[in-house]
Amino acid sequence: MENNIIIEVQNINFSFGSQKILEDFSANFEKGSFTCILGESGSGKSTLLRIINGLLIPESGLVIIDNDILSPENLIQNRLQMGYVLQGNSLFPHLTVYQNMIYCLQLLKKSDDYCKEKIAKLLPLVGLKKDLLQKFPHEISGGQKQRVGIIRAIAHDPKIVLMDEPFSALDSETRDKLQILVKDIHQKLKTTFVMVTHSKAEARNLGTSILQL
Amino acid sequence: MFGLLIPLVGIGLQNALIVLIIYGLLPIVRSTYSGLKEVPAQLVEAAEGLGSTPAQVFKNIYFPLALPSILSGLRITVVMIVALTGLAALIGAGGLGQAIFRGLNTMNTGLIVTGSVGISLFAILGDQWIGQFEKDESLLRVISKNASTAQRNRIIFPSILVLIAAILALIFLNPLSSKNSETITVASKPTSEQFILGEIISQTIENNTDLKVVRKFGIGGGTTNIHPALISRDLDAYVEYTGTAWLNVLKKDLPENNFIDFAELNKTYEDQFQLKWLGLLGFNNTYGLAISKENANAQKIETYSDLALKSSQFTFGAEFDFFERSDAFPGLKKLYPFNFIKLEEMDINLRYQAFEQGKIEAVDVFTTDAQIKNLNLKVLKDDKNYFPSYEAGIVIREEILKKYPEIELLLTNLKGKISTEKMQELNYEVEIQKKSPADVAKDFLKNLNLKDGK
Repeated sequence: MENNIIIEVQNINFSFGSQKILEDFSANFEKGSFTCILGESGSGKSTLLRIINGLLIPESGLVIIDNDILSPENLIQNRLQMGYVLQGNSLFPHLTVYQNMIYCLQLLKKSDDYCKEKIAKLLPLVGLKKDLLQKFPHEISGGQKQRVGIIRAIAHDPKIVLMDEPFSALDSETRDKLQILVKDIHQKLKTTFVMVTHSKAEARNLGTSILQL
Repeated sequence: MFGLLIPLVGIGLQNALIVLIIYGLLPIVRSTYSGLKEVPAQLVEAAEGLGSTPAQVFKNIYFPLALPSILSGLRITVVMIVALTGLAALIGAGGLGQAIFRGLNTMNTGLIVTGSVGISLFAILGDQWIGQFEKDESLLRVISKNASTAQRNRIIFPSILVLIAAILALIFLNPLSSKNSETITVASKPTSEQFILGEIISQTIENNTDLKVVRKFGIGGGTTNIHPALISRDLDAYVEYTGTAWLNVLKKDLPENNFIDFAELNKTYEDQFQLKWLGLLGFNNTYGLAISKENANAQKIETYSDLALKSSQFTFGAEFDFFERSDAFPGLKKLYPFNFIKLEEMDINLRYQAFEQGKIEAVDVFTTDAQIKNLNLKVLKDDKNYFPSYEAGIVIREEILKKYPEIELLLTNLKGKISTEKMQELNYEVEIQKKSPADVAKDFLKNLNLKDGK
C-alpha cells in the first residue's frame, strides 16, 4: 500500500534548546484521510505540522511528501501543493478578502479570470457572500476570517491541507459551524487534511484517523 | 558635520547634498528597521507556509506592513532635511538659509522673516506631501493594488507636482555641472562689512569685464572655512584682515610692537598658498575702546592713556570674551592703568544697547562698527599699540590673476579707497538704514568713479 501514503515522517528528532520535543518519531498519513494530531500543549503537535510544512527543520529524520523527500531545493514547490490554516487571525491585513483568498493562486501565476471563477465557486462552500470580497480583514468577524483563511488554503487545489488549531480562538457556536463546514469540504474535495487540535471531541468528530502525541 | 566634510569635498552644493543625504538616511533606516521588526511573526509564517519565496515574503508582507512606519520616518526626515538645508548656506551652498544668515548678519529683519517663512513653507509642503501617502493608508493601498480612485489620486497628483518641481530645481541648479571656466567665485564671511566688501569686489569685476561672478557670501566659520576653500580652488577671492591672516592662517606669534609686516605676510601667502594680497583697502577693523563724543570733548580724552587717568568716572561694558581672553582686557589692563567704577559683562549684541540706555559710559568696539556712527561714539587712540591691526585687503588666487590679468589692476585700484570712517558709514547704511549690501556697494563704486573721473 506504499502508493496510498502521501506524507511519511521518518525518525524525526527535534528539540527546542535542550528540551526534546520529538524523539525518533515516525508516522504515515494516508491519501484522502483526515488526520487529527491530538496532544497536550507542549507535546509537539504544532511542531510536527511545521516540520511537515518545512517551516521547522528537524535535527535528523526525513519528511517525504508524495514520494518526494522534502529538501531546501523543493521546499517552495512542495509548500505550493499544501494549504496552510493557522490558529487565530493570520489574514494579511493590507489585502482585501478577495486578495487574501487568491494569494496562493497569484503565487502560482493563475490568470485573473481563473481566480474570479475559482473564488465564485468556493464562496458558497464556506458560506460567505460576494459582498465581503472587497472588504478588509478588520471589517469582518472572527468566524468569517477563518472561513476566508480556509478558502485561502484550498483555492489552489492543494494535495494536502494543514490546519493548526484553526478553531481555537472562536466561540463554541462558530466553532461547531466551522467543524461541520470543514468536514463537508473534506468530503467534497477528497484532499488529505491534517489538523492539529487539543480537543478530543473535535478530533473524534472530524478525524478519519487520530494521531495521539 | 558640514564643517567636517569641507576638507573632503570642499564647500558648496555637493558637500551640502552629501551631508543632507547622510543625515536623512538615519531616521529612515531606523524607522524602516523598526517597521520590519514589528511585522507579526504569524503573518510571515502564513506567507511562508503558503509557499512564498523569501523575495515574495518581503514584497508581499514585510514591505507593505512596514510601510506606515517607513513613511512616518520619511515624514520626519523630510521636515528635518528642509530645516537643515537652511544651514547649508553656511558652507556657501546658497538657498533660503542664505537670506536668514544674511539677515542675521546685517540685522535685517525682513530678510530673516523671508528666509524663515520660505523654509517653513517648504517644510510644511513636504510634510503634507508625505502626509498624503499616510492619509487613509493611501500608499499602502496603491502598493497592495486595492486603492480607491481617491486614494490613487492622492498619491499621483501631489507626486507629479513634486517631481516637476524636483526636475526644475535640478535643471536650475545642476549640482553636477563643473564650475564654468569663465566665472570667478567671490566669498565673504558672515558680517555686514564682508557682505558689502564682497559686493564691491563682485561689482567691480562685473562692471568692467565680461566675467561672471559667483557670490558665496556669509560662509560660516569665516577664515577657517574660506581659506581652505581657496586652497582647494573652490573659491577665488575674498577680503581678509592682516591680524587674522597672521594669527589664524600663518599661526605666527605677534611681533613685540604688535606691528604686522604686510610685505612679509604677502610673501608668505604667495610662497605657501599661491595667494596674493592686492594691497590694503585702507581701514583697520580692530578692537577699540570708545566713549561718547561729548565726554571725550568735555574731558579732553583722546587716547587710552587719557581714559585710564579718568577711568574712575566711567563704567565699562564689554562682551564676556573680552574680559576672558588674555589678549583682550587682562593684557590691556597691564599696559594701561584702568580703574573703572564698574565692569559690566554682557552679550556682544547688547553692548550698544547698554550704552544707549546709559548703563555703561565706555565700551569696547570693533573700529568699523556701524553703531560708532549711529551712537556718535569717539574711538580712542591706542597710543601704546596694544591691539594688533586688522587691516583689510583683498586675497585672491594667483592662478586667477594669471588667467585674467585685467582683474589685478581693477581690484588694486580699490587700494586705500576705504577709510575706517568710510567703512563705518557703509556698515551704517546696511545695518541702521537697512539698505542692501548690493545697493551700498553700487553707490560706493559710483562715487568712487566720479572722484576718479575728476
